Amino acid sequence: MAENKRVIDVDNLDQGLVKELSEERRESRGFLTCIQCGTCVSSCPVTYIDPEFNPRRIVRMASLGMRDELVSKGVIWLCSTCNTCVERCPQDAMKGFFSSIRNIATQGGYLHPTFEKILEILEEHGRIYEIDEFLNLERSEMGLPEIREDASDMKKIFEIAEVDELLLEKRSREI
Amino acid sequence: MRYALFLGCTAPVRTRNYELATRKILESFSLDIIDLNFICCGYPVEPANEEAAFLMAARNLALAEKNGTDILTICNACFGNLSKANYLLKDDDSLRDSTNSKIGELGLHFSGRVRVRHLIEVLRCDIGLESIKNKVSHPLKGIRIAAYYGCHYLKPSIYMDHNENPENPISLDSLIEVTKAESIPFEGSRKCCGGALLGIEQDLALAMSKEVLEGIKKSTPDAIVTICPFCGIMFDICQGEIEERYGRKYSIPVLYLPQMIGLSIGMDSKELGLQMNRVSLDEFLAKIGSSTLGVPQ
Repeated sequence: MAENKRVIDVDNLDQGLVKELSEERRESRGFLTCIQCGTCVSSCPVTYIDPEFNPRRIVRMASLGMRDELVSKGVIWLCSTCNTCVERCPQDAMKGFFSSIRNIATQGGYLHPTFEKILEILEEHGRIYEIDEFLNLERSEMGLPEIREDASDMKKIFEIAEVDELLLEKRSREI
Repeated sequence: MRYALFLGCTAPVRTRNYELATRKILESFSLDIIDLNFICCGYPVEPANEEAAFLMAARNLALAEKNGTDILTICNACFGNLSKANYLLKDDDSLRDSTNSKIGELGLHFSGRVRVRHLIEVLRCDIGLESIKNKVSHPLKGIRIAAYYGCHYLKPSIYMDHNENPENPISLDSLIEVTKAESIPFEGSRKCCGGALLGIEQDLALAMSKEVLEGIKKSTPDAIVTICPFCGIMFDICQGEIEERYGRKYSIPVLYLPQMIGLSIGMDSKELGLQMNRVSLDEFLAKIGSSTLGVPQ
């Protein structure tokens, strides 16, 4: 099964990734305390269906600094965020880990298309589903109150957190 | 206590049956509810930008605070993200200060006076099991229900403002029992429905839901009861597609918690939005002796 053998290219390890995850990001501070016990894997409902998604391996890869392998591939986007590993990890190493590594991938230019779409909709509508007149009509027929969209605060938050720049950058790359 | 109803993005669009039943139930127990100008809770933004996700939650918490209310949410994802932000903001002074300087630009301020509550906890603790019990006029005797809690109501428990044990929760079971139905054990009750992956890897998401449905089916349920719009989308709205994909037949009706309570206190199916539930409820309603749904809306 040659294709399953994974060779680690020691010349291509990036300690900067370890630093970003363990020092610069509030939530994922604990990830280096992982003892590779496998509680996460045995608890993971995604691994159960698709063993290619293996949180223990992903954490180990991150702690070695395998940035390219992680941020350029789809595997980090398969976490369903059920938080079972976060809850059960005896080292409290999983808290914020997947969110942080996805943020790092995003900043490196690998924003997942689904989340790109979500950000665009949010920027315009303040919600992940647009509320149009037809929907409000359907709502009123059911006896539900009208919802008025207001994305003004959303836009300001996207400016503060520089999401707007992320989207601009992404669009300019696509042109 | 006054509550601001936090519907989130999904319920008012895709699971309006859940929203409607929630409003009717809360009205029947005379709970003081208001609607505020909330935006997305932030949960869907976290994978792309943690800061924005956090500020969205903080903004919503501060808006409730400004209006002197607690937050009552019917969505697990909203509950999870708002609870997390609330916990971190109350816990960390410097984070609170820096966040306040940012949401100050929106004319808002967080000082930590708001509680984030899930509908299930408001029903169980604030309205109380006794009050509900006293109202049960149509007991669901002999009905077997699979209680599906979902994930973000329970985990990570450190952030949650409730005493639920994430590995062995009881609130949904106790609310089922109040209606005189039976909460049945089933395999995979703590497994994730995969809802968060539906827009990312549809095949994987549906395979995860199938896994849960298989476990539930083995326990011969009359219905699944859930407290999250995403779980509802996976089990109710997607059940037909999962059946087709895998050549299986489940036919398990899915009710949202307030729909189940509503039936037990004698509300009619239209008030509870049952016509929007996708998997047929005819057999279930016949079994509990309620008026059938047959009338087209």
